[in-house]
Amino acid sequence: MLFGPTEDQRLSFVSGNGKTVHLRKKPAKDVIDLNWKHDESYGIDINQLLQRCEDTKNAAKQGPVPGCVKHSTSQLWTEKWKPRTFFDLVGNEKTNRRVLKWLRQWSPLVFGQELPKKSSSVREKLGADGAVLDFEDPLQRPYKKILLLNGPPGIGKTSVAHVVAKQAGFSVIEINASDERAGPHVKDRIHNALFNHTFDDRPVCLIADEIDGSIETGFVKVLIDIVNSDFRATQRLASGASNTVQRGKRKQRSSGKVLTRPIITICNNVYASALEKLRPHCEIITFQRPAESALLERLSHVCRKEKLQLGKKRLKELSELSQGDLRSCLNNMQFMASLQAEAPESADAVQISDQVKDMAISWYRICNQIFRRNPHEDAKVQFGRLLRDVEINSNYQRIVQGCFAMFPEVKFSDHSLQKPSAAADWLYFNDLMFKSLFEHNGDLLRYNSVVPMAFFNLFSDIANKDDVRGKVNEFDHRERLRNNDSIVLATLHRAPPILKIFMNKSSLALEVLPLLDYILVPDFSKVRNNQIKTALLNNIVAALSSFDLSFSERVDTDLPRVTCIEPPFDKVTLMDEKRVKEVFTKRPSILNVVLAKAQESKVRKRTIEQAKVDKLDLESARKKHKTTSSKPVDYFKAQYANVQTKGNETIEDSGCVIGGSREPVKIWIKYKEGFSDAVRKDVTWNSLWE
Amino acid sequence: MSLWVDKYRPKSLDALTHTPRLTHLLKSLSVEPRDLPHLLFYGPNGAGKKTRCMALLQSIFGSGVYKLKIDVRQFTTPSNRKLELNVVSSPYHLEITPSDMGNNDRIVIQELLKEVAQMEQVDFQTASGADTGGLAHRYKCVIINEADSLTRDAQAALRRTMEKYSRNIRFIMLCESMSSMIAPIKSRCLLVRTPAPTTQETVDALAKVGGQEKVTVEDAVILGAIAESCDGNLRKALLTFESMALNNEMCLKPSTALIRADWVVVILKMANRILKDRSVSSLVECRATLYDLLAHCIPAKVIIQELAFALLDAIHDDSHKIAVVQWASVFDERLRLGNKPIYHLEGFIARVMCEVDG
Repeated sequence: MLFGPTEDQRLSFVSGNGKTVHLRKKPAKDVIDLNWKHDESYGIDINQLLQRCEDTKNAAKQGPVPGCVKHSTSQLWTEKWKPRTFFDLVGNEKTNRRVLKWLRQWSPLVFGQELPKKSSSVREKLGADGAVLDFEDPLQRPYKKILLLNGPPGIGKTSVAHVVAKQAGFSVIEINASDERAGPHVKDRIHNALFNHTFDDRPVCLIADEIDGSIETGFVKVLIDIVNSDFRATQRLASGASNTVQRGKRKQRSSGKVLTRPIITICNNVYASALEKLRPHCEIITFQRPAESALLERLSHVCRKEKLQLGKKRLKELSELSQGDLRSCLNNMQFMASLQAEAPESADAVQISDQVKDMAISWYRICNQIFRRNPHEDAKVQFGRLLRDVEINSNYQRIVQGCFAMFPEVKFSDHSLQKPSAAADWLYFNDLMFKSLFEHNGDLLRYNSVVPMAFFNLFSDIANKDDVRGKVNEFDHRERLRNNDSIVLATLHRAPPILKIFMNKSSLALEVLPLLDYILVPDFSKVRNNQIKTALLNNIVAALSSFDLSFSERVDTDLPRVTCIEPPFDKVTLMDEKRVKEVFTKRPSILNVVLAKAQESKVRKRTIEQAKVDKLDLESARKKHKTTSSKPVDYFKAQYANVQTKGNETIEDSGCVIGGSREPVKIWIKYKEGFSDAVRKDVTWNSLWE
Repeated sequence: MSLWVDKYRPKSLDALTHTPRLTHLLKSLSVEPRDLPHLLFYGPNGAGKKTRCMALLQSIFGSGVYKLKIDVRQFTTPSNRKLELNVVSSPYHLEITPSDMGNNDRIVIQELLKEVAQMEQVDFQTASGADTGGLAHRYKCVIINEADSLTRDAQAALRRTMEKYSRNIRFIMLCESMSSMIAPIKSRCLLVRTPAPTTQETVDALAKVGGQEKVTVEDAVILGAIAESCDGNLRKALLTFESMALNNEMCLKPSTALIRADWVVVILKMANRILKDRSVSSLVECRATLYDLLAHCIPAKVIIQELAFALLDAIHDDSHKIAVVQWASVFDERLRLGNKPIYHLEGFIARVMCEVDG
């Protein structure tokens, strides 16, 4: 065989029988490698990794301070170190798993329809579980269609939602407070997101972030509408499904209301008023602050990666300061890193306490500090520091409330309550200002810290060292007020309109109820005279029935069950301790007697009415005999005569014998009492006849 | 079957007890029912504004005005919120209470009243009378309770309705003080002042009820004491009378203890404590009491009023009395301007303690 040089790079040779054979060049080996690399199923590409190692080594050699360049040019660390996978997530794994579980429950529906082949065996199994749990839902979705994540800021609610949604195979559409979320705009957006198909073959998961703002009611309403219409559609579907599944499906498509995509909502405060209506429709998952160890681990990981030298102790301090807020930790660390980059030797000297000052201290601690005075320090310095704390906390209302609750508990020198009355003036100032805060576009906002500082000037004393706690809780007070208020209203609504028009809520609470309380439970155990006793009881029963009060048994105490009046207006009226005690000691026995009497009078009323009716019947029967030739009878007679002349079969047997005419006639009379057919009562023949 | 205060409530003009001059005026109004002007009753609580108003309606329309029913009406605010309102009505009139509707009273006034006003009431009974020669128009009465709590907007909405539809609608407004009514409304109404009964009139009313309920009253002194303690509030007087009668075996002696509502007793006790023990610890206890009172639905303005009067009764020094009145008015103003009643109530107590200490 001879190898001959040929045109190009092709090799050719002439074979033994004279034929020229061209050989093609074998494709280069690295080309195959290239194909290989892009297939992710083969895991990590070792070449690339090696390359990267090389690069970083070179980079390290080149730049002595790579951190500097990096920090100044790169993105925020909070973005950079955002968790990318489920395993990156810091914090309570259980809650994270709950989120994932809820999302997985959607898989049978979402992936069953969209990507039937992709649904792995695991998913199918999960789906089967879901079906067992939610047998009511024909589409095997979770029972509550919206997930509501809540928790303090910076602990990764948004990150969890994003990561978990990605993990479960959804593509995320996020709507947050930066987007226009008023009424129709958002409605279109949500509907587009939820009910339309995307070009991306992955199904959509809607994440609505920061929905607890006060202006979000429109947005929340849209969500509720979706849930409600979904509920209706699902019910239709469920009823239709029993007949034919096929038809059910068509219905669903035509109405287009069945929610087929998960919605995750995120907020800080679940109890925000805007969310009140949404809450019952949501699966609520509350996020706790992550455990400190987990937080530290993550922080030190970031430190290592960013080549930031921070001791364990510093990190711990940092995490304590931020109270589990990972985001603020990262922000602080970036700040420290940039300092370190500029002047490496001084980095460690950066006092964390400097950052302490920019951290919010809880209002409770501030309140306690207000009442303290350090004798070794200039008052001006203390004043300045306190002022800064108050302004950073900026929860002025809470601070002022706390000061108000605490000041009687602390020690201060005073001449006959001059200071508390001065404080009252300041509180008045605070009250007025807070009211007008929202009217002047926040112009007055900077005077907010004046009142706490006034408290410092008035009440701070060297002697105050321990933390104190105000006795009365504002929240409890409001709760009680609301309860009592609703009791008064309930009583008012029970009264019949004829009484209701003569009183209003305040007169009821101030005058009627307190005295009614005396009227209903007089102590008549000592009354000897029977006549007076019955008179008393009659009056009590009259009073009871006028307000339509009833009896019930009180169960909310550890004492044995006692009889009480329903609605329990004694809770509103009774303030005297002795009389409050009577509710359990004396009253039940009195009330039992009254109860018996009330029932007796009810029965008697019924029998009297019965007797009256009987009597009336008797009388009317007698009257009827007398008035044989009265007008109506004549009229009817004439009518019957007409009927007879027609010669019909009406005359058959005697249904009733009328007046003087002895002919047997069948009469049909329609009778309606009032204008509504709903009112039916027995009508005697006689009452018609009179 | 009801409390005495309701049982013996006069239902017609003839049965009204006190202030005969006013009764006379109302009778003359009812003689020519077609010319009934818009009315504005004003007077203290428990003086019988509503009773007189209903009695007047009864004399015009007959006893059908007492056949009342409650309808639930729905309104929609401009912000698309649904409001539900209970409207008490009879065939001849309807009643609204602005405090039920909060800030949205303007909408209710506009919608509800226009609806009523545009509906012409036709009176078939008098139409048969030859003198009118055709169907007679009749108006419907609208009673506005607590008219002083109507917002300015609502009052402004009302003034045009009052003129435009005066053919079909007549307003009867009830309020305690006229100061918050705007002038245009006042000028469109006949103002009827309903004074509280005098002590003697109260005593007479009590004696009358006592006679019918067979209460033995040994001496009218006790009735006088009840009347005094109730400050011309006849409702309160009758309720007190009934509770005292029931708690004392239907027999009132001059020595019988007066029954007061618990909250009044608490305030009296607090006044004594303030004068006796002027210290921070006493202030703390007063604060707890104040919270308690507020939680029991006692409005702050009532608390400060009662407390001031209780203090005035207990203080003997005149200069201190003046100081109490002065500070009570200062803090009353603060209460009305502010939102936090507890601050101002306690401030008042602290001030009074200071003043008494000198």
